[in-house]
Order: sequence, then structure tokens, then C-alpha cells
Amino acid sequence: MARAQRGDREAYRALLEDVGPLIARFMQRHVREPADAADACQEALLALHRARHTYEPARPIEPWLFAIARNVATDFARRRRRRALREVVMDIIPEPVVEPERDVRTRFQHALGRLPAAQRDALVMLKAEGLSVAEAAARAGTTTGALKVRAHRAYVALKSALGR
Amino acid sequence: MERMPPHPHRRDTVVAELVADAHAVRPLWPVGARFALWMLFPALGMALAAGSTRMPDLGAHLREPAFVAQVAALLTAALWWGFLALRASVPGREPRPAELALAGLLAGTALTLAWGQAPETVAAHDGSAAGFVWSGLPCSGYSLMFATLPWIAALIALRRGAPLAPRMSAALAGGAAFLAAAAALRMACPLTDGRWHLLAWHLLPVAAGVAVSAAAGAPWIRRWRT
Repeated sequence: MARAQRGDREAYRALLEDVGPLIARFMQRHVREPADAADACQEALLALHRARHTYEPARPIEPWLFAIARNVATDFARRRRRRALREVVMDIIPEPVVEPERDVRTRFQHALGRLPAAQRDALVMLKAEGLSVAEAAARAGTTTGALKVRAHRAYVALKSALGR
Repeated sequence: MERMPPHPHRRDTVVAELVADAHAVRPLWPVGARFALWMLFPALGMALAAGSTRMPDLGAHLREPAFVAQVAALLTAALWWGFLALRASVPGREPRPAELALAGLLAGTALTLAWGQAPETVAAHDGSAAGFVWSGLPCSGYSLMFATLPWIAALIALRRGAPLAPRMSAALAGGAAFLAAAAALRMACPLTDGRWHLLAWHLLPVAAGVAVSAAAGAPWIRRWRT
């Protein structure tokens, strides 16, 4: 990133290609609509581009990067809530056909979506992405102790939501 | 839970456009350097206040530990608020809840000290509402004068960065500037008008500064996103 700040395009391309998939996965978790997630990913890359002068080379890049991504995701969630307020509620809703296994997955995703963002991030980084506690704490910009507490709370909340 | 990232080709297009637009940028100065520079403005306000004081015995007051503690508490709160505001212009370095709580505690302590040490008697006017306002107007003018430079400097520094929480950052900047102004004003005003003068003309401007800065400053410093 320090080289990108000096105008090195190749270094900047390599950086964006590295962080692009990370941001895309982050947005998939935080922005439920796939189309919105793709837009949010692009917006986050654009925000990163506009904020690149604020990166401090002496500090790790992950807290800086994911703070920007989290901010964009929050904006998208806010916009989605506003849009939802304007949507017309239908009188008759078609009966959905739900397969038992799919139902569990849907309930899991709903329960995951209802978790506070910090808890959801902690759980996903540890359980889905396989990061160590130290790596996840660095990415979240918090201490390992606080991250463990978040992950534990997320786990308890999910267990309770799924009735297990 | 993990799926393939959506529309990688769209992302590639964006990456190509961003790389094409990538020119050298001037990195933001480290927070410590910007904070050190910003501190010159409250220091200038303090110097101006000491130079233009209406207190006949400022020198004697500066030898009283209680008076010094009061001014130092206001100044310490101002500097902490300013530091948090400037640091918040870097993504990922926004204040943590404990740091915000400390900011509230410092400001609360400073305001309580100032309130506790203010005289209860009114000597500057006849006790009428008009007299109260008339004797307070110079202080509100001073407050604005001492706050303007640190306020504008902090907002410019924030705008130069990329604050992700613009309302909070602008509120901190406004609070920092008006707390510094309250510290300077405490050295400039003889406070012969009692506690209500202190509350109305020295301390309420701090709350007003926080509110106005959050409302008016936030849209201005948010422009880095567009």
C-alpha cells in the first residue's frame, strides 16, 4: 500500500487483487442481497481508493481495510432498511415450499443475520475462514480476549435461535 | 456458509479503473504530528486570553491550585477530545467506547470543577435579565473567538482524512475547540456575575459547539466519499 501511495500501479493492482476477494466475502456475509453485495464490494473498493492516502504504513492494513468495508456495508444496510419502509406489503403471500434441510439453513442464515455485526464477524472469521484468534482480533481491530467473548456470545445466540 | 464472491468480472473492471486512476497521493501526516500542530491553536487562544484578560489579578489566580486545576481540567478535556477527533480521520482508528467514556468523564470533571469553584454572588449587574445578558455577551463573543481557529483547523484536518463516523468526529472537533475556548475564557473573564453566568456564557457554548459541529461539520467532512 505504501508503494501504491507513491503511485506504483503494479503494486496497487496486486493489492486490489489480493483484497478484492476478501472484501467480496465480507460483503456476502454482511449484505444479504447478492446484487447489493456486489455493489457494496465495488463501493468498498472505491472508498478504499479514495481513502488510500490515510493508510499508515507502520500499522497493519487489515483493521484499516475492514473498517472501510464495514462502513460501506453499514451504509448498504441502512439504505436497504429505508427501501424496505417504502415497499408495498402484499395481501396474499404465496405459500413457500420448504424442504427440512433448506429450512435449517435458512433459519441459520436468518439467525446469523440477526447477530450484532461484531459477533457475526468474530464467529465467521474463526469458524468459516479458519483464522486464529490473534489474526481475527487483528482484523477486527480488537483484543484477543474481546474477540473470544464476541465469538462465544455469537455461538450462544445461534444455539438458542436454532433451539439446540 | 462460504460461497463464491459475486460477479468477479465486475470487480475486475473496477480494479482496472482504479489502477488507471492511481496517481501518487500525499499520505496523511501521522496522528501525533497533526495533533501537535493542532495544539498550537488552543495554545494561541490561551495566550490571547492571558494577554487580553479582564481579571485584575490573573497572576495571583494562577498561583491558586484550585484555579489552575480548573483550567488544566478544561484544557486536558479539550486536548483529549481533539486527539480523538484527529485520530478518527483514519479508518479503523475511531474512538473505542472506553475512550469516548473517558472523553465524557474528562469533560464532566472539568465542567463540575468550574461550576464548583464559581462564586455564587452576582456583582456585575443589577440582577435583571437584561443585565445578565448584557454582561454575558462579551463572554459569548470571546468564546466564539477562541474556539473558531481550533474548530476550523480540526475540521480541515478531518476533511483531509477519511472519517468513517463523520458526525461523531465533527462533534469531537467542536467539543475540543469549545472546551479549549472555555479554558481560555476562564482566564479572561473575572466571573463577577456568579455561577449562572459561567453556565450560560462559558459552559453552554461547549454543548452548543458539539451540537452545531455535529450537524454542520459532518456533511462537510463526509465529502471524501464522493
